[in-house]
Amino acid sequence: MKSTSWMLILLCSMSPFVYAQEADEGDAASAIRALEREWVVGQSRNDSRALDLIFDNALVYLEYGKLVTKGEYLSRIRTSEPLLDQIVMEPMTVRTFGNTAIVVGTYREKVIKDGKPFLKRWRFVDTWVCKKSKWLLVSAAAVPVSR
Amino acid sequence: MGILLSLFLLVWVAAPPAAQTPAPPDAEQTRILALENAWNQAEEHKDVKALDSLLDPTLVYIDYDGSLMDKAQFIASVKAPALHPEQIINESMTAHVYGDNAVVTGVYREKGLSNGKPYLRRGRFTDTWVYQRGIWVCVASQSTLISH
Repeated sequence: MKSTSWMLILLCSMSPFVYAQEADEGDAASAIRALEREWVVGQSRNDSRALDLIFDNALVYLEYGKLVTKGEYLSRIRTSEPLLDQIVMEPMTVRTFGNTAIVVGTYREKVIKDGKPFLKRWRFVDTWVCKKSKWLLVSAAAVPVSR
Repeated sequence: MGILLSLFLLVWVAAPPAAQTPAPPDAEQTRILALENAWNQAEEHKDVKALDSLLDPTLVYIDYDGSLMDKAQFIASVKAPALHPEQIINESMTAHVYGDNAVVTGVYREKGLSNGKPYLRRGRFTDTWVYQRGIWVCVASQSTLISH
């Protein structure tokens, strides 16, 4: 969900408001939020091993209308060179249904194109499933917000 | 057609009260994929009752332009008088079942008239279904246009 560009993220910053949302949530939702942050950190560090631990092997990742498997995603993490782009996470909503959690939110991506910076806003939905007491990402998709 | 679709959903989707846990994954995959097709039919025919039974009250729907809708807003968008879908089909679908939840990814094609102008869209979607009180309901849906 985080970034659909493979040349991304050395720095990412989280809005303080995102952390403030956790105050009144249950354990599952808090765990999911922590995993979402872990994803961002893992990607910013090109840490494919860390991401391997939180992605389900059957992960389906929808990127620019194409399906990317876990293997393809991690391979690109390992081989891509990050650029000095920045992602700012905006508030996200976590809903749990037993062993399933749905996360919906938005983030802003600072992109450098033709030497000029501009901001792109994305809306995402991630699905996490608790398997053997461990939350794993099974589905992720993001789409640019045009209106 | 709308009544038939609603009856189909009542028979196919509603399990006996004792079935609080879903059937084996293969059977549930078939059922969920059938529900996906039923969803398309419901949209084509603007069958609000059928959509109501397929979609969880807490549904989150993210459209291909990034807009966010809840269940009521989505159903209202389907009912919009200016929109006349002629055909909505799923070219391909895959369902991953994880006990009482499932993720479906697929490619859809939709054509019709919007404000009197013909449109044709092809996109990839991801839907998350949850098994609750003996039936599968969709809790999240997102689609992205395929540019080629």
